[in-house]
Amino acid sequence: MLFTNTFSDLYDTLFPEVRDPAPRRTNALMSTDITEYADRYELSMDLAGFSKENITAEVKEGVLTIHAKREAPAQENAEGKLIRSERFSGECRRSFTIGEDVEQDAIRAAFADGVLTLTIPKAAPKLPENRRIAIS
Amino acid sequence: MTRNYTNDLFSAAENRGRTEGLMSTDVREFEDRYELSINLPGFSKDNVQLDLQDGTLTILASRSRAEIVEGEKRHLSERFMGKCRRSFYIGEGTTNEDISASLTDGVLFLTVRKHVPEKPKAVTIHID
Repeated sequence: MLFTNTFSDLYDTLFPEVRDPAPRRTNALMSTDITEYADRYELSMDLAGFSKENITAEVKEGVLTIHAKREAPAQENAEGKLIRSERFSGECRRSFTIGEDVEQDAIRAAFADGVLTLTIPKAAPKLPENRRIAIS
Repeated sequence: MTRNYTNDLFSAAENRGRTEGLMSTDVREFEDRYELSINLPGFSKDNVQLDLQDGTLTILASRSRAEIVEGEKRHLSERFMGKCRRSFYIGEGTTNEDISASLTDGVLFLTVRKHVPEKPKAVTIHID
């Protein structure tokens, strides 16, 4: 089976209410929860079987992109013969628009038990500046 | 809600392409054993249970997430939460001692020793 499951490209926005209601993507690759707290967003993404070394997360122009890679297992070698192969192997990527009102430089990431967790702090609200207009 | 999957360990073909589901499984066959790798991201050891009955191995797992409280908001909720179950037929002769399990990085790794039935001894009947 050539060209199957070698690459998945998934796009999303952090604020799904602004787009058409999409069917629930439960059970899919890179399934994600995003929860908003008073001071931060937390993003949890299922990435079972991926290793930390093969996961990258980057922010560019307000878009957060998570890229992950898992080598295809050898069909048959000294390690035995693969008789069932359901787990995803290949590269997958998913992007989220996170906008400008977050502290992009302060995003923290952790990977444990096959779940990638990103903590995205909200930016301190900009207070409206009082502009004094000189009266001439 | 419990998701239920039942499979025969030895029929590999029908599930090809089911690569993205929860509990996706790879099975590797060795001369003396099978090795199963089952995706269970975010499931803790305490919430994964293995049962062997009549030659069928059942993996029952559950996970949950913290409820949101006032002032918090869930923007995206795709990850499956609840119970899921998957069964594999691994042969009548298999006992608990033939199975070992570990859970690392969201992958449940099982080793199932092959149970080789003793060959019935040929009985030679002496003819007088």
